[in-house]
Amino acid sequence: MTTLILKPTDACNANCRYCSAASAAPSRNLGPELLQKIFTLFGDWSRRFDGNHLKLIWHGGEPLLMPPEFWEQAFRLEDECLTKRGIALEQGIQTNATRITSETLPILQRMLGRLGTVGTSYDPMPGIRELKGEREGAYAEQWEAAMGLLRGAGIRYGILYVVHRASLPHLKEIYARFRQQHPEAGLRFNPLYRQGRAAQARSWEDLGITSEEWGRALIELHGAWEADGRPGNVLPFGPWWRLHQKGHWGLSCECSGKCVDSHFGVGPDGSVYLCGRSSDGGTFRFGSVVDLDIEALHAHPHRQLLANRLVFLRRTTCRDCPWWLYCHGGCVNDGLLASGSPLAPTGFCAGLRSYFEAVFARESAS
Amino acid sequence: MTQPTPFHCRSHASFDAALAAIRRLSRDGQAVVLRDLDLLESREALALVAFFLHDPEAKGAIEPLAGLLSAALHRQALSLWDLLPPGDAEVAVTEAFIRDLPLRHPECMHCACFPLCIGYGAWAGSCGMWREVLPRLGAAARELRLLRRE
Repeated sequence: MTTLILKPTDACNANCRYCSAASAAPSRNLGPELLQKIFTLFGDWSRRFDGNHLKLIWHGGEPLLMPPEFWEQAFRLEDECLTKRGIALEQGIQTNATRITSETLPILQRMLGRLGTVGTSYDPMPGIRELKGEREGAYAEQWEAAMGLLRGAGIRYGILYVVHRASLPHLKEIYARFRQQHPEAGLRFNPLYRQGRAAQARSWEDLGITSEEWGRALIELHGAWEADGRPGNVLPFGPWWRLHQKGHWGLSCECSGKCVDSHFGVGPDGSVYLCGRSSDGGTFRFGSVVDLDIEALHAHPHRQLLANRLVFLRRTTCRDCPWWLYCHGGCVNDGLLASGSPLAPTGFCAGLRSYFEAVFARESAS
Repeated sequence: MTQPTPFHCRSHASFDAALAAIRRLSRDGQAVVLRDLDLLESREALALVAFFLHDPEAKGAIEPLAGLLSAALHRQALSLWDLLPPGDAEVAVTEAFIRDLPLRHPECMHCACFPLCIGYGAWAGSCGMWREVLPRLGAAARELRLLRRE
């Protein structure tokens, strides 16, 4: 199923130290005309290439900064451009959750239906995620209150934790805290990317991690995950484990080798990108929804390059790697950040290999 | 199973004579492996592809066309380098050539033929011919997949 990461705004009320989407440019909001074009384009896409299915993830910036009128229009346009054309629409939202209140909860309920989930990022370490113009700790208080509201409303949610240098000594505690306080929630660990605000020298010096550190973090977190009974909704461990043990094929976008066929990102100006990360970083832009049709999008040279990247890596850098099926060279944006080339493997290659060797080679041997 | 017969098109008086000889062999169920495809002009190679794909007389496999069609059909990680391997003395040089493709032949990285070619055409000087032949084989593989689904 195609997943469309749609950013109705790049404004945000938070001031996260490592925000990968932060930009000095003035923030922009998506208007109804562009939104209609976006839904029409990706409605056409899903009808032609994807069996009338579309997964839409509202993203940002902070999407819940958009006013109620925007959401009214958005839901009406979804009906007109997607649902009434026979497209099965699944929705989710990625939010910092601080704008989830009793006023915005009905928007989420209408958006998500029975199946959709709220994705949210959180860091219990003080000073990492804070709100603009508010006292330290306000983010944490509002986030915890929002999780209570979601639980009360029966809305499923997942938590993304970004692993950074300051958190490296505390990973097991962080894992345990999330699992104890939010046992029903999905949980995902990502490494900090050197992008946006995290790329600034001071931030990277304080918080940046190396590929090897990411590998050690994965090994440590994997140990906590195993001791926890290997819950399937903790990523990236569950999907890798299922692949290793049962050959189940359900890796997330950065490791699936199929991102070019599964994801798109669209910014508030209607620019279409490979994915949400590309939208943040301005990489792999296909054009504007104003000019694009599905034929042009399908035949875009970026798509061919990304498909060829896999073949090239398999024939060169990754040729003898026994873990190819586990990562497929990793995220192209990580490769770009690390080496400047879209044809490079992820900059986290060494760390991933050390993790796979430590965990799965050991398993295979035993 | 008999080994495919090595076949050199350019050792015949004309391409038409070569094609007639291939027809005879294939009609008798004899597989052939074309050793000098890289020397053919596009129209000649396309005539071979048309015979291989569409002529009911073609019974014996014509390599490397059959291997390429199978790779495209089954989405195998198989390329011209595997079907037309360089000699032992050339392996190191060709591997370096492939590693340097993004710099020396950046056009390859945007080419739809890359999964089956991986720069072989640029190496052998037969890029133009392969850019006509490989899409034909890819289209045939797509048709076969559709037929199988039906």
